Amino acid sequence: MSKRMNRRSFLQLSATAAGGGLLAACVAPAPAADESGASMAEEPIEIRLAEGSWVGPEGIAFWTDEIIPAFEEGHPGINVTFENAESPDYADKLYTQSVAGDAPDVMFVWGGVNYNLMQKGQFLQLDDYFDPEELEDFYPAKLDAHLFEGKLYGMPKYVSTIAMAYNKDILDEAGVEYPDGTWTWDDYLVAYEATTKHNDDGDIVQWGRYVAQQYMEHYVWMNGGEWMNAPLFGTKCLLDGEEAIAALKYNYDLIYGSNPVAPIAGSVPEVGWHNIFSTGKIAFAESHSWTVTNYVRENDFNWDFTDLPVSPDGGKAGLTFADGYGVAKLTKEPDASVSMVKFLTGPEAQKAMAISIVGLQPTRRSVAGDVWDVDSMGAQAGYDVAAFSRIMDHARLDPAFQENDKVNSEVFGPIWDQIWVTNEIGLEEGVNLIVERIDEIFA
Amino acid sequence: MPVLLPVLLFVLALPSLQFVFGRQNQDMSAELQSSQTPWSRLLSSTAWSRRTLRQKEELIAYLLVSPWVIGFLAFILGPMLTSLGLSFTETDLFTLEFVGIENYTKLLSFDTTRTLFWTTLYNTAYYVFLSIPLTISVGFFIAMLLNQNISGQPTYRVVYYLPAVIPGIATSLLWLWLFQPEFGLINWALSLVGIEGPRWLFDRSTAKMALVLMSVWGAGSNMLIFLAGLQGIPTELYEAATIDGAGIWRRFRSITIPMISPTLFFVVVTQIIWSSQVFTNVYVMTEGKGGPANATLMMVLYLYQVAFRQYRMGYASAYAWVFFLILLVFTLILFRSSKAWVYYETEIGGQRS
Repeated sequence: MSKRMNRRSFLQLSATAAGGGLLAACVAPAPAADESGASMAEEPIEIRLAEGSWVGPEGIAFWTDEIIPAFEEGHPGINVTFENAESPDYADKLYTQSVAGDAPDVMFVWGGVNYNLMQKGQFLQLDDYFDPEELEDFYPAKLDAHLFEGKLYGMPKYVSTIAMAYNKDILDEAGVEYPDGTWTWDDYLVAYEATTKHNDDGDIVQWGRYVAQQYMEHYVWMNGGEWMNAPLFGTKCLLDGEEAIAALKYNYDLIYGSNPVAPIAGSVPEVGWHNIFSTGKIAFAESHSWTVTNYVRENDFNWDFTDLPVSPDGGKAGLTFADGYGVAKLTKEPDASVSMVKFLTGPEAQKAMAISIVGLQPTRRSVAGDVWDVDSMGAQAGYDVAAFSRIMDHARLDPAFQENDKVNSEVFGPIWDQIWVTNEIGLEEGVNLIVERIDEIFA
Repeated sequence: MPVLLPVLLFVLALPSLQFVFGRQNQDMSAELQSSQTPWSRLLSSTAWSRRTLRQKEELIAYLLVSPWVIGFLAFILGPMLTSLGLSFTETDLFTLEFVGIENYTKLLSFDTTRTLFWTTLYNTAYYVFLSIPLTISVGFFIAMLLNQNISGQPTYRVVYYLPAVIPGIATSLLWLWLFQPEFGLINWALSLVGIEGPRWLFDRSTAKMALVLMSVWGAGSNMLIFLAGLQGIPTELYEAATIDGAGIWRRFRSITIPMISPTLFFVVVTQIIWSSQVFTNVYVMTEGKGGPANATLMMVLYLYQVAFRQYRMGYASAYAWVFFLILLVFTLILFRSSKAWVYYETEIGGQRS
């Protein structure tokens, strides 16, 4: 009997095969075992490290040719596979890998990636692996980024914090003295005004200051205000407080006041706020510690770093961010993975990160003083990069709301834009709207 | 690797195919069946030779199309149905809770403090309905020019098509500089004629228009399609019309437009679908935010934010389905309306032959 295959049966068959294939692909591979069924103790332990430097091929070579071989040499029997974290979709990749139970054993995480995976229980709890005494060497604000409900779920990799960069050539031309750690907001304001230059038409061609409207938290704190009702995962915005409003207004008036000294968004020809100081058209700009190596290589004018302004009452505050390592909760090699984290956050690796092309500010206080302040590329070039270490004694973690990405993209960000970028609404009106809308979300 | 997956699935499917076909050979001895693998049975000369030529051709045809069919089922239809299921849940992929139609009601709520759907719909519609006429008319105009017998025609075609093959990210960075308010080329050009240029991407009132203007950059791909359509118009029609005394405008209106209408229809449909999915340039030029103040927050960008920044996969799935239905409705309307304005050469007396 001859039976032809019709279209329907063909499609059914294809769907079955496709489904079968997918199911087969979803099954985790069985672990290798010897004939007796026991694990092969002699086999090297394999772990994966997701890392990146964002400074080009030399930055990748730093991990593959320097750090990983040094770790393997000190830990015989552990092989480390490098995975590049520099791809733009790294965060998505980590998330989907975690969903599939296939995240790298040790992963570089920051900001939202860190918080998301930590809140969703995807990191191994590390309290039992680190002595409290050992943790004391790390800046507390950096450890805060990895604490969830009082438990430690990661370790800080490096410090990213803010100090003031200033253009010495512009200051010299304007007859302004170089700033020191005692300058208050008002002292700086005088310098901003003196270094702002107009052309014959009255247009500003050189600015006293660049205000990065996305980083204002330290001004609020140093003035005695608060950003939200908790250091992390806050549910109430407190920017409508008197001190907070005053701090924001100080910066707001630099742009939109009667005598503007800072450009509105788009007035300076550069892509990315961190590159604006390098245009040479700005006298003062707050910069992150990871910009040091770029500035050393790119700035074709005389410049230096110094301390952030002090509030009128003498208050100091700094801002730091979540940049650390997480260990996958489902790792098959927790001990080896934690060893890797200990090595990466240990004095030797921290020193290497600071003095290499990677140029990262150490997250250990002991290493920062000896290495970052003295031996790092910026220090060796004669710049006061120790300003980044000094502010860390007063730094707090960049606050993140509960459901931070949603709050930022749907409420905070758009209204903040209307205040600072498009200037459609006034500062107080905008801040009150933000507070009100966030209250609605978490009501 | 993704390319190899359909092939792998095909290989997996092949023994199953044989299992079905094998049922046709009931008279095959049990001994033979037990001694041969599915692969060898399928390829054995006995099984093959018993089939008619039609069956053989049919089998080969199905085998040849099966990689695509399996790929479609596994990587398009499968995920689509999965997202339909997820749209009735609240899930971050680690946890999942059935919420019925809550995602849809929240999404389509007119309370704009609860949903950005209407904002993104407006932004996308603004972009689509301004950029499509612009890119189509520019593409058509260039195609008309390049359809003339001029020297260096191939060079012009390459030059006009070149922007279409430049990666979207490079194009976006280029336009970011062109739109720079203080030092950008566009505002500099405007200043030459005494116009103070706007702040483009830093102003809510001009940000979307900047993206619309930028879309002209992609007119080269439309140009190529129109050029192919124009070259398919028989020259006899123009010759006959000229002899009858028709001028340029009349020839354009009565010959070119009707004859190019199927091409125009194709371009309009595909442009609506592609323009609605604008993502790369907005993502790059606004650092993934759709700013300022959500002025350029397009539907796909918001979908990306909800799915891959906020990890609200259920809500994102519902959003994707609503988006899909909107596109489907527009496409169906276009297909319905095409009877009134698209002319096919094979039509005789209003009826297709």
